[in-house]
Amino acid sequence: MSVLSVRDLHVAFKETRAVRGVSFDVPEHGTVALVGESGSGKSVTALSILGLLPSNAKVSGQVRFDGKDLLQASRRELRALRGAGISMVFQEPMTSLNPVFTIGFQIGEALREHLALGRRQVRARVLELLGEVGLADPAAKLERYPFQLSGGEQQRAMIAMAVACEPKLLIADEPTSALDVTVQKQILDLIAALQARRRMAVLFITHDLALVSQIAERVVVMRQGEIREQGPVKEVFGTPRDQYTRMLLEARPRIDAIRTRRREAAPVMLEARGLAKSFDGVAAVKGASFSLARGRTLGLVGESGSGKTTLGLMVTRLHAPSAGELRFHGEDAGAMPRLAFKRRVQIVFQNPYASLNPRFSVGATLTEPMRLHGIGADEGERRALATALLAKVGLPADALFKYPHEFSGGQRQRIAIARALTLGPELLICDEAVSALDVSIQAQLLNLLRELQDETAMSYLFISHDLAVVKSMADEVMVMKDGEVVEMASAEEIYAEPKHPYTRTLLASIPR
Amino acid sequence: MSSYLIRRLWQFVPTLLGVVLLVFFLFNWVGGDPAYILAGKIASPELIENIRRSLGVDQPYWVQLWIFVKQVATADFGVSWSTNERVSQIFATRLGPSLTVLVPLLLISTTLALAAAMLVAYYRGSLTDRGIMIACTVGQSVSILVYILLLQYWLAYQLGWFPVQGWGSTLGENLLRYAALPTLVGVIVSLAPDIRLYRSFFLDEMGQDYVRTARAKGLGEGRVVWLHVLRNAAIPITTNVMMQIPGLLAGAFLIERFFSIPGIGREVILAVERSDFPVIKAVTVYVAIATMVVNLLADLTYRALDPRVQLK
Amino acid sequence: MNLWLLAWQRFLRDPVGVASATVVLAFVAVALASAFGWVAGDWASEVAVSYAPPRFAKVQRAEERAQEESKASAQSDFGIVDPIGKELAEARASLSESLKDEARAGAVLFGADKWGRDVLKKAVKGTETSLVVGFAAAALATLLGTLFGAFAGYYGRWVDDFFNWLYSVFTSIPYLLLVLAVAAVLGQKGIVTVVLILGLTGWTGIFRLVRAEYLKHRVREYVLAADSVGASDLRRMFAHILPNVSHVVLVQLSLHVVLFIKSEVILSFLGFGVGVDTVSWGSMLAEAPSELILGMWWQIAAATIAMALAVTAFSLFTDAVRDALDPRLQ
Repeated sequence: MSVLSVRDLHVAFKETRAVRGVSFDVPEHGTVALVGESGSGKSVTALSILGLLPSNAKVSGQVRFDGKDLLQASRRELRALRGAGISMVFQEPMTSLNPVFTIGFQIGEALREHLALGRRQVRARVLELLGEVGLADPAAKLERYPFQLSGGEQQRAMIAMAVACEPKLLIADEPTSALDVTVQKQILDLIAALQARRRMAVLFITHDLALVSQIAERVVVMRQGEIREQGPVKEVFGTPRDQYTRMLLEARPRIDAIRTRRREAAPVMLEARGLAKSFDGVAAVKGASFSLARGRTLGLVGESGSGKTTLGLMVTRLHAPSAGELRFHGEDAGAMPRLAFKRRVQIVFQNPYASLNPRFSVGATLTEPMRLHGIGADEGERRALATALLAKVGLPADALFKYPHEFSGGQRQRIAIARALTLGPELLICDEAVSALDVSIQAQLLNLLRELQDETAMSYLFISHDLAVVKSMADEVMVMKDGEVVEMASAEEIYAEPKHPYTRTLLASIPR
Repeated sequence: MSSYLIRRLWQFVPTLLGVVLLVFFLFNWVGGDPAYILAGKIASPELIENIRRSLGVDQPYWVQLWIFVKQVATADFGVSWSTNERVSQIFATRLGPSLTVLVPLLLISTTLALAAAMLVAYYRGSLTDRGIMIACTVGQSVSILVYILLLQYWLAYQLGWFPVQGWGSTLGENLLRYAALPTLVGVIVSLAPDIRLYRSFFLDEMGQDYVRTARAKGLGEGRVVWLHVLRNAAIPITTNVMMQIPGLLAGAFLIERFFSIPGIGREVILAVERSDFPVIKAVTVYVAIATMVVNLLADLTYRALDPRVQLK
Repeated sequence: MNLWLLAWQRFLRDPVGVASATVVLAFVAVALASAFGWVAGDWASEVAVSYAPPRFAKVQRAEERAQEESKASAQSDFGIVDPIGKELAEARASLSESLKDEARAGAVLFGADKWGRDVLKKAVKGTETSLVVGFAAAALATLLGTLFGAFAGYYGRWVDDFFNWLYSVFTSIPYLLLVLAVAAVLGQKGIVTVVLILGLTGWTGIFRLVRAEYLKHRVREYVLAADSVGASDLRRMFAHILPNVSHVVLVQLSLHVVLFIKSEVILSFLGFGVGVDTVSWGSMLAEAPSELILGMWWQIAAATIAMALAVTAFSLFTDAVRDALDPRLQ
């Protein structure tokens, strides 16, 4: 028995057709995962079920719930259904909660809207719900505002709000994508527990394939508005029939994959001892020490607030360390002249949409470092060098005259890498360089980085929150938590025999 | 909280000092020799010297500055050069009439502007929205002078619905008879810019994620707009309304002048026309202080309305 | 393709934007022509009788009157030789001639003011005044506000503290009051003075916005990247960040042109703006109260219509520019 039946759903905005003829079912008490990369139309599909799309959306098709077609329902019927029969949890809990009302009020609002309960009953119910979703000290949380809660707590509050009126179907739109890996696992467990206890159906939208096998029985794979494949998870993942599904499955780096590593010894080029950084008395990094050999990759793993980005910025001297020293081939990095240092260490940032100056053409971005450092005798020579760099990262020569907005996220990261290479650095810091990209693009960029390393013997400091990605790239891995390095070991050791409890929690949280 | 207040009050000092310096620089240095202004067209050198001495402008600059600082501290700016009335006395008597027009003006124009802005923001892109916005644009392009002149001529002079000018003796009489047309003119002039501004505040809020969540909970449109959106938009709106107050105190001077309302604004214009420096200096300093106080109140109100703001 | 080109294309697709830009250009052309003396150069000369009405209002009547008189004289001819008929006819002829003269003398397109000056020419000259003041003062205020805002937002700490102090001093005094106070002190009138008054006091709004933008951008990754390849502070401020902030600056420039045009009108109205040797819409409005009582509406109409057209066109143009430059629409 299906609790939700979607038939031939079409959604179009002014010029784009976001969803093109999508049909699937959600069985009663079951979990269906809706998977796709950005632009696949998965979120639009979810929003259209409850009629939450903006007014310029043109929707057609059938969405049957409880015997009624929701697309034909009146406004009052839809309102009665929202939050009661079907409810929804969104990706960004911070902005999805009203900042000026307490969470007790907001959760209570859902109850007051659909059930006829008195004030004291509502308050009691809310306290119950807060406890059920695992929030510590519910009575205190009742009076808290959203900004006073952590990301995980906010999401729990949102879930409490969603299940308050015992819905038959819960739609979760990327509920964990904005959260740290360890918190993610907790939220997923919570949703699973709630589902079991209340016998809800869940429609789970995500871009992360690994999550799917953990939580869903059925999966629907979408691409550019169409369904490519759907069926029971074991079948689709075990024997994928569609090419796109296969590509998605292969692109994800697997934590248990083994990478052939170079065994010959290499000279140490970077040494850090006791690096520390404080901002206004708050310590972001508390004494990190490590070394990096030529042509090797040191992976740096941590969740938000661990200090990994600050450490990376210290190595590039964009932040001056509060304490400790950094040595390059034995030379003190702090004593080196600024421009000379920049030629040896470069960095690629996380956000491809923010790391290139939108007003500079690609050519200008690439030739600027050359001009500042006196590389290339004239503009013509510099442009030739830039073209060569573009070729190295797999971009055509005419990209020189284009502007960043004409490129995709993955292409922009390639341009950023090319820029980093203009000065021929020995060390490249990759600060979450692939984290903002779709899985398929990620794989391509990681390959590119590996090729470049083989070619130029550059060393990498690879920073990421994603242990699987780090393991596929790094020779050695450092794990950071709250500003401290809690464990450092070779990539295989970290995986096979994690010593620190935090490392173990991190590994356990990774969905596979 | 009290430490925050004390710190903020302390910050008044450098700003006030800056204002004092600016006013002093303008009037005592750049401004023409006041003795010539006061003496009139034909004056003997002795007369000018006498006036200079009595005004104290024959002293070196730093002495003059000290005198001015003392004046500010004691709130005693001497007497007006034209009417010989004590400046502090001028303020005490002129404040009332100004407020009699300003308070109703602020209340009425804010309420109307809010309602209109909410309407057009909700039906964004509709014909009503675009029509009202165009009307606002055109309305704003006509000078306030024209509104005053035309409405005064038409409604008061021609149709006789209101008195053309003047002021009465009792509050009730003033409110209902003499302040009515000035308030109406003031409301009409401030409607257009207010509607545009509030509309942008509402639009910002309506595009936020929490509005989608509220709808997803099953709340009706009315509740979403009047409770969730308005409560958030109230923050910038209230701050904005409070910031208008000091500007209104001085800015209503055109209205006061034309309608012969004996308020602070009219006093300022007369003083400027007569080069009555003590009055202008005093008004500037007083209004500066009032602005700083109102800004502090606005910040405190902001804190009360927005739980995210933490006073440092 | 350059972002500027994209914005330009977007602008061209906006009919309201293009229409308002055309009107603005027309006004600019009129102002330039007036500035070079090609039109309205003789605005100050007396060309008609005092308070002559606009041509489209009363001239017909003068001609009709002359026609009626000649008709009347033709009808009352009963064959009796009128002893003074010839002289009467001559007198009537010369009267109608002089009436026509008077009509011609009063045939200024939009009427004349108290001193017989052509209102339309005054409005044209006023356009020149307003536009020159508006643009020049806006340029000055924008320059100051942008420089101050850039330094304050980028460097922070004591540089920021200093400019913030300056900002709070200037904003503690309500704008029009500050302008009036400066005008009272400077006394001497003239376009340069007005431009200085408005420009030196009107930078605060731009400062705050530019400062906020710089605060936002200086921690953006493209700026950090510029730092990592070796760009200096000044280079980051003006070669990297400024182009990304320029859309804010342009819109503010445009808004301030409107603000200063309106302020100049008020200043001139009160007698603190341009001197008597030149005309402003404000000085035209200043003559209005006495004229309205006498029923003469054309000068206030001319000034109001000219100003309303110019300001509306400029406001719509500003809106269109803002929409075209909006980075979120990329």
